[in-house]
Amino acid sequence: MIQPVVAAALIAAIGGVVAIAARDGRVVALGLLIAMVATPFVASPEPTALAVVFRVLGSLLAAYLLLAAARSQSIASEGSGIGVLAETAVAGAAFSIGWFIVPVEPLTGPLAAQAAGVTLVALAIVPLTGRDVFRVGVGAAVLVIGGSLLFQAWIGPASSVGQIVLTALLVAVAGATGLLISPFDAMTAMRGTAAEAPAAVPSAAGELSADSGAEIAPDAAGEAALTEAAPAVPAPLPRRPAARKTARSSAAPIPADASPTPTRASTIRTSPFGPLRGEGWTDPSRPLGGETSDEETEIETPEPLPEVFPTPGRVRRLRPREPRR
Amino acid sequence: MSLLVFLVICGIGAAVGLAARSSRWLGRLVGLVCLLLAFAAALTIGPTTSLTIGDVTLAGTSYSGFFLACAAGSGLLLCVVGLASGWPDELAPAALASLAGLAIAFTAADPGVALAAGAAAATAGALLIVRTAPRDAEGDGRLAEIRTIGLVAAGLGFAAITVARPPWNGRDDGPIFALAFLILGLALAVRSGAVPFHVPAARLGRTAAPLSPAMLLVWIPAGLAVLAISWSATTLGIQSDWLNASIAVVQVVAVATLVLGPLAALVHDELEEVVAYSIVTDAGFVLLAMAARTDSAAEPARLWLIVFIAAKTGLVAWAAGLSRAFGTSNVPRLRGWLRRTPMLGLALAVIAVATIGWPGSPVYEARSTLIRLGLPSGLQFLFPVSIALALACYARLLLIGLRSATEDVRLARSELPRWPAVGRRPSADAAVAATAMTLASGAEPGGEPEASAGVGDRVAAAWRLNRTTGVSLVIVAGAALSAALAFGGLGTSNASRSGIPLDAAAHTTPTRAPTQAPPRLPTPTPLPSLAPRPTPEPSGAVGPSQSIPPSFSPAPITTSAPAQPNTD
Repeated sequence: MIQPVVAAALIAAIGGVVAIAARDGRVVALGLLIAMVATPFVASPEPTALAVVFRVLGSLLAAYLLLAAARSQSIASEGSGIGVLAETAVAGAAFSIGWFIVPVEPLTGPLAAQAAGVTLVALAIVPLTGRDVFRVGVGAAVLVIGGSLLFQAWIGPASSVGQIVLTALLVAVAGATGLLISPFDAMTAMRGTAAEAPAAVPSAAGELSADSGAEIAPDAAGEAALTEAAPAVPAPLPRRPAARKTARSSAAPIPADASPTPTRASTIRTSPFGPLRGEGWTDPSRPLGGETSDEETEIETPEPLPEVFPTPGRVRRLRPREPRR
Repeated sequence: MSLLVFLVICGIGAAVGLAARSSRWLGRLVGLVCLLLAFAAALTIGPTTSLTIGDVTLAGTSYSGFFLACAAGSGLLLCVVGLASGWPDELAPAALASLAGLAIAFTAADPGVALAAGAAAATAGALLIVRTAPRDAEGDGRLAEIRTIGLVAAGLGFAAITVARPPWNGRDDGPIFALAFLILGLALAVRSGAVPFHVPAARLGRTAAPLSPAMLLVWIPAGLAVLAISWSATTLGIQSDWLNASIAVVQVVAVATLVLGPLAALVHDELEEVVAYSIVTDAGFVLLAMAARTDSAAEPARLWLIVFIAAKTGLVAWAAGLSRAFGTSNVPRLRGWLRRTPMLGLALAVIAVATIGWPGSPVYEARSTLIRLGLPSGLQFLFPVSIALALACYARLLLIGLRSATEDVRLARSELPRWPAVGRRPSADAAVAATAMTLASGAEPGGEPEASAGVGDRVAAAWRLNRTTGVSLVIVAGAALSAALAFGGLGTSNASRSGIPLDAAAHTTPTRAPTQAPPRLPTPTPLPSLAPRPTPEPSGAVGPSQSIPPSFSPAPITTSAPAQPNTD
């Protein structure tokens, strides 16, 4: 019969693997939630009911913060840097190592907590060394969870205030991650950009569907911003295609002498710093519609595209034209 | 009770301030009022302050109250300057959230709680990072910030484990403490922007909100430094080559920061970068305090941190005021600024004096002591070098200000007070202000503005006309306050003698369960406590005692008597 502590440790480790290896931001948040909820149960003696309730509520809040950021835009990152299988293998090896090593003797807490803690710390190393804000944030959260498990194993269960502060730390790390990847001040930044370059157009306005190339009606603000002189809308945010390729090509810096001339092709490019890297919008300071990088990926769109894609000097139509009578 | 009030004010202020960011005036009002209330509440935190939550006691000390008051006051001053130079919506909520975390960190007797709260406080800086994608991956402030958050959490988490001194299984636990020392030192260096981790700090002008260097490079690193210096007492009794190697790494970073930081400030032409490098340079002294590994370094380090907060916040405010006054932050284009804004020049001179001091002053002696204790005798020449380089940075700015004014500076409004004309021909500025006032009130322009304007409108117009003067006065007041702190005024010296409860936990002889292996040293020697007063055993510490090797201090370290409890 498997002990509850061991089961909780295994669940925490599995949650860590899911959080580290998943590509979809929602699944990542779910994995983090599983790991955070399971963590307080990997303790001996078990924490009080109040502490458990507090930890669970805090875990829900932390996961929600990540989920909200993931839901606001597509946060489909590269996923694990070494692959799901490799992450699982690392987790298994680390759990075994954590189960058999004896760095502290006698152990104050359960051995399973040490094993799960070593697992989560090992899992957090790869994303922490990456360049994706979202993955680094998730790695930091997993590291904090792993550290708390090691604390429980080596020092003993945290005090009541310790549980509160640890929960606050987890919420703060998750909140900081969600904040840094969120498009919160997109409009603010775009206002600043628009002040410098009046022709700038919010990329959020007139979102393009990656599947059909058809245009979605923008909000009123974006619609008002589209004028006769407006250049092409830059970098729509497709959810699906060419995720890995574009994310890799995004490492290439944007040349300083990028031409501001709008081109047709540039209107349907994916952003090198788009949602695939964790953020949900494009850089408003970039020359809108300009050439960005030779390695950018174009989305294949059906031909012809009569009114959807604007050309310089024309009014960009946001809705299908009414048929003439 | 005052601690609870402080925590409530900071918590509510941060939450409401964040929620009210979209409101132009409510967010500012909440931020300013809560910072003011937090400042007042922090002033009442002292040795008699305590708050018991469950099995953990939060106990105030003179230093914790003084530090929090200084940080809250600095935040208040900066926000007042921000009213005129550009209000960053997230600064006040982030500062309040960070202060709440630091308050718990500075008062918790449980080292795990204290260090975890410090890590939580450090995450508030993410609010200030501009969330726009960069042109190149190297300039991604978000990536640097989240990495820093992760590193700080890792460093403080590991420190929390080691300070509880679990019964490590092995012949020598030196590598464990060496690793913890290295991670914590690097976390502090990265958060402070020390060389070679200075690039994100230098780019804060582009990657973060205005005025954010004060929080990201001054307040949060100073709070972490207090915790790190207190924690470093854990390593006093450990003799290990690994630990010596870790200390050497921190010393190298500190020396590089002390030498290269001011040189970078001398060659850069953007005011934000000059200010950032000036702040980074002074953070090198904090690393030296950590590397000193002696109780003698704690008191000067605490005093230096107080002065660091006040003076460097004043410097950030000075840069913001100067940039606002002349509409540029490019140093060559600011040529002649001192002629148009002499009060800002006075403020810069006072900040320089507060930062460097002169022989015999507390801040001078603190800097001298930190270099003497933190570096080997062969590198003691760095103290005069650091003074010379710092003076060169300030002198460069002042000399540029004395030269003939550029077009930008000539066209800008000076600090000479102006008043809306009443009963006489209005000046150009007054006419513009009065016309704007009239238009705002819905009246037809072109009439006699003075006749229709009320007293309130005239005051508003006067404020608009004299905004540069008002900002300069606030900055001068802040600079004067920092000078007072630097010279031991307002109780700085007394407060610096006391520590925080984490000091006691770091010095406490561990009482742990006996291991199966025989004790490594048969004669346990309890270390003297630096705590201002006895504090309870860390909650994580359970079981009978474990032996501790005798205290070791590498040359030229001298160990002084424990600090006396603060009696005021």
